[in-house]
Amino acid sequence: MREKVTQIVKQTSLSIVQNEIQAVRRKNIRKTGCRVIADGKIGVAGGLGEVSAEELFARAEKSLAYGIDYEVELSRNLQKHNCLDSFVISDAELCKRVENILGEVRRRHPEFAVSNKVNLSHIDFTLENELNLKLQHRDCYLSLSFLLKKQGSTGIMDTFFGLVDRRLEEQRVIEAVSEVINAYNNLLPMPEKTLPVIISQGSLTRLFQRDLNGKMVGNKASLFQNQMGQKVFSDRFSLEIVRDPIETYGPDFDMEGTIPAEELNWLIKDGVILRPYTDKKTALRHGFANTGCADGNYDSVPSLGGANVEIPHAGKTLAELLNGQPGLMIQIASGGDFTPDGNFASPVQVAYLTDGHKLLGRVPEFTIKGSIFEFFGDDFIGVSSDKIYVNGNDRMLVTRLAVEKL
Amino acid sequence: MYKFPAGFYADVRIEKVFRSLVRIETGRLEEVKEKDDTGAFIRLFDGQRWFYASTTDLASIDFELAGLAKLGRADARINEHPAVRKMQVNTGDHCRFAQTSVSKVQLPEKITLTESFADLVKNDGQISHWSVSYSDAHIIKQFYSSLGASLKFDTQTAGLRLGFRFGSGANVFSETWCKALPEFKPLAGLHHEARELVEKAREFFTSAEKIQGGNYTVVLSPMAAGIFAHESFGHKSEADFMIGDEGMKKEWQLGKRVGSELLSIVDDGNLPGSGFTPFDDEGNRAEKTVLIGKGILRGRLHSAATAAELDEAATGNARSINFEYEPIVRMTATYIEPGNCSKEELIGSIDHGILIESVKHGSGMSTFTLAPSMAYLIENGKVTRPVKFSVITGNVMKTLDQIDAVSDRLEILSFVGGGCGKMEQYPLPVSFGGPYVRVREINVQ
Repeated sequence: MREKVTQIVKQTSLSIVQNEIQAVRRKNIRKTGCRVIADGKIGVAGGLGEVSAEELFARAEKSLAYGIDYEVELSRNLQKHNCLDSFVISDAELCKRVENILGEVRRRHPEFAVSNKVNLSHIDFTLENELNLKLQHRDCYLSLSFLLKKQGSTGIMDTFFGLVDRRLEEQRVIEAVSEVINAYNNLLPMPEKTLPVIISQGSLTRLFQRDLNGKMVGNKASLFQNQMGQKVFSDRFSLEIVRDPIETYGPDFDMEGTIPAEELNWLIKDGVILRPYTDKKTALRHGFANTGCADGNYDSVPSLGGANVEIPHAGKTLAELLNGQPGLMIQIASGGDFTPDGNFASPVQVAYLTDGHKLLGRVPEFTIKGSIFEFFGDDFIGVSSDKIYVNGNDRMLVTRLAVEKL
Repeated sequence: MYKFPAGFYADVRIEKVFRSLVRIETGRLEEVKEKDDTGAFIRLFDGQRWFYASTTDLASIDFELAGLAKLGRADARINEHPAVRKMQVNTGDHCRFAQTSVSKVQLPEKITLTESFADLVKNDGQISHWSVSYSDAHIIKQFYSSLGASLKFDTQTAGLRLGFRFGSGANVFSETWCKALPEFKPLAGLHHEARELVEKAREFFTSAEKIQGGNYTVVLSPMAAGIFAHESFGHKSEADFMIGDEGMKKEWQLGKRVGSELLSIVDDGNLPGSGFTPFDDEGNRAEKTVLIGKGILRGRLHSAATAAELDEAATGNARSINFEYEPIVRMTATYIEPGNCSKEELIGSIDHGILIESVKHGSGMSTFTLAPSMAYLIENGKVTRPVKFSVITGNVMKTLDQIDAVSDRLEILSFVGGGCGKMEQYPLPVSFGGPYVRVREINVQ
């Protein structure tokens, strides 16, 4: 049986130095991966550019001899085409509009320099096989990554604005960058009272990537080994695998063509750990449900990667979650880690005080600490229903963590 | 030769890449892959802006050059532009791995080697999860420029990564042994080194105890010292962060004292290993660049453009992760230079301190952190018992000043399966290292 993966990336990339476009890069790269599956084994091969699929299949077939087990049932009888590539902008127009943003930021904030990248990416990804499977994901989106550096500061960057979107809202970007810079310039003392911490979900859910990995659970190496099926976290805390291509900027199928039933997306529901995340092989070997998390390069044997997880919100905005008090919104926290028993600690390099509507000012560097059983347990406050534009246009996690001055 | 458009500086970098990968996980062969790819990155400069294209169709290079030229404005005096003047015109074939290319080693031999390392852990009752992978890369680069550069060189690494986890539930400990060499054959002699680390990790898993946070005298192993040098100072030495910033230029003026006089940090792309970069991706030759010499800021890492902007010499540090990306200023092999005292002398004078032997990860902006994997208590001048804590942290500049002893033996570490990240470009192979380095008053959390 044969499967083919085709990935075409067309990209225009603008390099920004000191508020000016210093370079324009264009690429158009096609990658093709071919798999041959026979008698419970798999062989793979891949190539760049215009390559002969027959030649790749022949190579893949030859590599069956290495004996890599793949005893899974292949996905079949499904045709799906996600087309999210309606954002159209010429390179010249993109340059002009980005220059407008950079020029206005410079006019408003001459003491700050903007650098790094704006990428416009067209993605066309297809997975197909001889069992009537053809899944296609097409998308076009813009990634803005602005490192903001104050003249005279000795660091590589001082603060940041980043965004992925399917449109370019110039004025909104300018206002958001201004809000970040104005807040950065307004250094406030650290409040004496312990405040809720507002942080990107991934910073604190990453332990689940390791310890709800199906291989870890299957091999009895997970922190949650003896807690599967038990209520471990707050009633209000759930964790689900998200697949909506509009939200994730990725396909809703995995590298094995799995789109699982909706209920299998729940890894944790109302505080109860339901299941680990898996691909077909891991599910089969350990007797778990397949949650469709096969990953890998276009030319790899599909294998269990990470899960794109999110904590669902309960309909409250950030301001409502803060309930009239300010919170500490963490923007840059580099160097933190979890201990094997679930304790988290991280220095926070840049954080802002916010009322849930606006950034009020910057607070000095500090350290955050907490246990996963507490910040997703009794200390869990919620996830904002509104997306916070100044912080990556993401829904932010609000919880309580120990905050210690450096 | 390519048709370089008149009135522009242009260059073409062609990469022919051979890679293979073998991965075994908890006893099962999970992946075997071998591939051979070719691609090109094309740059054109009109004195104001750079224009880049990447392609897998080598026959289209002249077409791409002509297309890029239409985006720029020709300048008859382009070769006098300061950035262009920093481009060296190197020529010749400098390949050194043709005879020992990993592409000549058959996959079954690589699988056998990987299996022999899997044997070290596969029937170990205390290890709950493990994987071992072999990976290699032989990259041949050709570089041509409108100035006349015509250059061919290659880089190569072959290496193993053995990751394992002891225990279950909250009582777990993970560690990784990883090593890269420039050739395949010597990897077969490294089993004892990997086995030693497995046993050391087992002892750590069974007996490490938590310690109280606070300020300690800390000894950094060559790995920890190398990560510290890379994360905390190396990235600050990349000159692209200074472009157009007068304040930054003033703050990082050469000749300024930035650390203890025992501290010297060097970057050198000529060293064998995963940072080996004999020429960079704009054809400039690798230099040994002293970043800090006896505590004094002595140099920084440059591309041609940043060298021109700061009126300094190019250092051969313009690197990209592959042919899809433009070269930007990156490190190669970055290390702390050795000093005069032995490791035993360095530890012998500590009453109460900590030795950090291996590190999970590190970061360094104004504040640095190192998350240790295996660490040990030092009591009365002796390494006594394994200890657990989350991170060490401190102000980078203050810490550079608190180094008070550096041992006499340099160790450079090379890796496969990861690398350095900067902006959108990850992973770039680098190496790092140092001797044992003693630092007073480090905050342990």
